[in-house]
Amino acid sequence: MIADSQLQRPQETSSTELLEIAVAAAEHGDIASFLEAIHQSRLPAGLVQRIQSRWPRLHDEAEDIVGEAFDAAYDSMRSGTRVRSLGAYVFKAADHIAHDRWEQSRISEPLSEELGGEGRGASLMPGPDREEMLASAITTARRLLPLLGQQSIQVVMGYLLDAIEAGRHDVPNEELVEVLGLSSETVRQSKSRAWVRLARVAQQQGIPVTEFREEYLSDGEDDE
Amino acid sequence: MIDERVIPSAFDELLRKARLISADVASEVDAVIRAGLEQPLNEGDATRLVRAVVEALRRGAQRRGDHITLTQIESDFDGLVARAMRAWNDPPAQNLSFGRHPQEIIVESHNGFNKRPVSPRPWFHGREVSMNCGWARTQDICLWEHNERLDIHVAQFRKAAGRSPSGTELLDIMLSKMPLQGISASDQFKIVDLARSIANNGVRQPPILDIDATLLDGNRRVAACYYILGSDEFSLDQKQRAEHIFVWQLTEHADEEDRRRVVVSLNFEHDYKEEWPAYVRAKKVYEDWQTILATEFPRPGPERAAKLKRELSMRYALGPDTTVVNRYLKMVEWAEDFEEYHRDLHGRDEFEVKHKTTEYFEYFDELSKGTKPGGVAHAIAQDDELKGLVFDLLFQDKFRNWRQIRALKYLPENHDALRAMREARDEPDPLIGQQRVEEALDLSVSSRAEVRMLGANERISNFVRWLEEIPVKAFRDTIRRENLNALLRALRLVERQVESILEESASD
Repeated sequence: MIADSQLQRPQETSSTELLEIAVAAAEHGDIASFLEAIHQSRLPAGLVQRIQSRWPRLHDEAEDIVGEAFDAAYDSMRSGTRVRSLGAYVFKAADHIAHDRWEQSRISEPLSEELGGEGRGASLMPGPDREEMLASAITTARRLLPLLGQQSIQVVMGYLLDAIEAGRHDVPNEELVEVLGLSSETVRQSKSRAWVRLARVAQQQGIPVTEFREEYLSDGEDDE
Repeated sequence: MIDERVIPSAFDELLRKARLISADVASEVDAVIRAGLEQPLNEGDATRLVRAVVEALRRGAQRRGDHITLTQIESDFDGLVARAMRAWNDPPAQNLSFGRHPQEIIVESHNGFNKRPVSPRPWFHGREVSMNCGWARTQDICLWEHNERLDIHVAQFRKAAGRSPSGTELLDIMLSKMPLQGISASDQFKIVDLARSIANNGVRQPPILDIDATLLDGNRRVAACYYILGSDEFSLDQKQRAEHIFVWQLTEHADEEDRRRVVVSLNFEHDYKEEWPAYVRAKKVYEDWQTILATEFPRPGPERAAKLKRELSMRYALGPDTTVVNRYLKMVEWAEDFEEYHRDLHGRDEFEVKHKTTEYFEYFDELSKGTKPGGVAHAIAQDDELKGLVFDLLFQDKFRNWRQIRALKYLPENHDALRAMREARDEPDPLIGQQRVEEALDLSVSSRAEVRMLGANERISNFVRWLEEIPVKAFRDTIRRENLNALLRALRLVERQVESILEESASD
């Protein structure tokens, strides 16, 4: 159990302070204090609303998704992984889980029943093999790393691939700076370019990738 | 050889995960918490949510074989839910202070003015924000090292010194007294002129402080006051005027959105003050766009992307037209290419390179234009050597103005002009180098004029052929009288010149 002194808080505790208390509680394996702090912060309630508005099809599963996201965070902290921002971790974990469930729900329904807004960016990935396919994509991506050019981009992308493989949900810039020994500016730039380069190199290698940033840079008009 | 089992969508999935895992979502998390506070669940929904979370933790512990957690939950499931619900009924402090500790910096009374709320309540970028106003001692106000305007300078200092700058050092940076590689201006932030104005008129626009006394707006004004206090140039009266500054300070009810709107309103919306450099503003827009892309699911199609860009544009007071956002995104891409080229390929100091990027940021606008064949961006993107050459010349200050960039599209087809550009790069004297660049670009443009003259030959020969073939009766029946007059006038105009040239060539 976490010591009482660690949970003492002023009467008016902000949401951020509550989430810091939740991290301390999880690290000490104090599930009751963890639950108290997260619910008082209102983060779970806000996340449920976010999921229901972004993935209408998952409306009824939103609470369960949020629960799983907090479980992932709790397990991560219990097993010694440093979670720098519980809010960011759970936000991303919930996004991942919702995305996975959305994929599953699409596969189990005929294409004509697709919801308009959610139907964009259709994926061809079959459900049961998803993990295997992703693992295979990671292996391929690792093989492409030397083709990404700049050394810092290679190491940043390599680290992100390791993190994805390990099931991590959040890799903040501070972690990349600390672990890879790069400046925060280099991390910021390398990170934003890493996946674009990887997409480009993959395309050059004959893997048609739709996640390609050029399409987002302008509305398709040349403004000269 | 690529693994055939990797189908396209698996790679998309991987890229999506890579983007999301490393995205900065701090502001999205703030928004989520705010939504949870502002639209509270009813008791029944809250209980269901708490139970769902506890149940998910139980399932997770069971799956992982975490017996300690499993025992904690199973031995008192309802007790845990009840405790969490009691906490839920005791909401957190309404302000999302996010680690900010209130600091009373406004003195209760000065010059007969008592601290009070700003009334009427001021608006910032479409939102009413509560503020207190009053006098603060200048020396109690710290310059804000996280001001985006100082981002590069402070990072450069940290790298060199291994620590953050002290208040005095920050002031030296703002007064351009700190020797930093790549800074050539003697008063980059124009503090001295501002100080002279303040010495005579006082601080006209109150700086804005956060609840913890962080300066959200007014770094230059405060730096100017410090300059007045420390300089012999000013009289005792003027120094006294700079000892206290009339400020506005956010109240304890302020949230992150209030802060963001204050910063956007004062740095993106025009109010005739020294704005952040375009590069700083463009980078903020670019970073936000990256976050939007990382958290947007499903992947935005063209319509959705346009809508998101419009929202982003409105967010930064750039209006509903996304032209500026698109410009910024492209410019930052080019700026990052430029930085990468000098920093990674040529091992130049990253901060020196950044100062150059800031100085020449508007040039990247010209460089990014014309992505189709015949355009500048297209010409440069096709040729890495040309791209490197342009980046080198830019770094060496050898372009005289951004208009010269437009002529770069003619370079690939002109080897003489390209050679002259290379010589300009190798020229150690920047002024001679600038001259060479100008000559090279003139050469490339003039050869385009030759092409146009060749076009004139084609046109004349076609016209003559057409004229000779036209039936004579057409001059009488079809062609209008004014056109006949115009034709005669043109033929007479060129007749003398043509005859003279033909006679000269015959005598040769």
